[in-house]
Amino acid sequence: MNDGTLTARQLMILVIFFIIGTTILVVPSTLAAEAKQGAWLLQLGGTVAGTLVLWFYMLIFKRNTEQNLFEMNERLFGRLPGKAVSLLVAVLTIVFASQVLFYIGSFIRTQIMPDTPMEAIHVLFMFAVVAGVKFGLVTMARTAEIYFPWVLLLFIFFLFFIIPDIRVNQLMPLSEVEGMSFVRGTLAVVTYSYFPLFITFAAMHRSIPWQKSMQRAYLIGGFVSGSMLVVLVLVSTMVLGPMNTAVQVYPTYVVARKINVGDFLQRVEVIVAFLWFIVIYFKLTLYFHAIVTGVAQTFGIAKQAKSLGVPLGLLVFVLSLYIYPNYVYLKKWDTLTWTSESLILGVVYPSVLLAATIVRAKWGKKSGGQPIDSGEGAS
Amino acid sequence: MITASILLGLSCLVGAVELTRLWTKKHKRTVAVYAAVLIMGNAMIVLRGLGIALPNPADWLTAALTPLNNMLLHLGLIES
Repeated sequence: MNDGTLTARQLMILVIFFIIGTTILVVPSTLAAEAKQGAWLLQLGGTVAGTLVLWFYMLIFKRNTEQNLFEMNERLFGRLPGKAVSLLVAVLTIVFASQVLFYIGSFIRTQIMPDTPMEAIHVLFMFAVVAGVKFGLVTMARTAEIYFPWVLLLFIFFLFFIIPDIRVNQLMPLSEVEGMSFVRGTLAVVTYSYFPLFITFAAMHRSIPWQKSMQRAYLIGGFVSGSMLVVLVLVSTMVLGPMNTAVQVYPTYVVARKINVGDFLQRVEVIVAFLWFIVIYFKLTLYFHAIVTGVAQTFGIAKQAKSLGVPLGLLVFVLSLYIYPNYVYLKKWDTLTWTSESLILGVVYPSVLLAATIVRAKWGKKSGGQPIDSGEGAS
Repeated sequence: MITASILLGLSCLVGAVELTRLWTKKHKRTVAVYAAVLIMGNAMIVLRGLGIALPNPADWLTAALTPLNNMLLHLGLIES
């Protein structure tokens, strides 16, 4: 699927969109439930920790240039174990993609179009995603570049018009956060936004010609999106108050509903919804790109990867209809299983890859050539 | 049920077009993978349309990761 390469700027924008992605929907209420008025401190901690996590991923990326995650698997773990790992990652990504699709679908269904059946919304959204992947990564990146100023503009518009509703005393008393809830909140932020980045961006690593500027793009992207989320958490705590933020399902949307300029400019919350559609669309498309590349690579048809778009899209669509049977299930799954699964895919798996890369490099130097594949133990 | 039939028709149409294209270009393995995934997706849609509950992969993940979940809960890193 190597159709052209990305520039550092495009990469940064994709990183920003990916990290903001679904996080923007769930994080303010999760963090407010954890630490009340101190929620923004948790998000700040998460941003710093997340940037460190990105720096750790850079170690893998710069050692394995010119190949995507699935090629890395096959090279480092041996052909068959590598393929098994690739298929497992691709299948897991199908589950995550259908969850992201469910998130956006359930948001549209509860807030904007309550009478429309779920299937209709999911199918339309999935159509756009499949089309995006079929057009290719570079087209996606350019689209992201076009939308980026609009996302920033809407974000600033939102912040500017909400200023009259901000009550700074909602943040008092400051620094009442307990040690353990700080750790939990930071972990939640990192698992939601930064850990999934590894498999998705490693899957398109082939299209990223590795330079110092790329590394900077990742780190700046991680930091900028984290800061945007800090501002968002701050604003929703200051406008709604910590208690109200914690009980809302979509706090930012409720905040946007409060925008009222001179009793004239009202009910502009759809601008926030539009912002979400854009970022979540890109998150879902990047996930889907990882799925398509992974499945194609596993079956050795990497050249025709894009033609698998329609059937895999169908699969993601069907799963998205029942992956979360209800809201209680969603909450439970997201706090329990998502955290452990994210730790495995975002910490254990990259560590194994990094170790294998270093061992391979040393070994290759010693024997003076390409080493023959031997069972190095897949994760 | 209506959704299932519409999607079945639509995917067969798209599948027919794309499969013939791949077939004439002699990408045999792609055809096999494509058809397998398409049939799987359609079977799931039809079963869902008939009101049969399908297994949820999210449950399998939970089952596989329960030990780790319990450990994290015990350490206090997550709170259910």
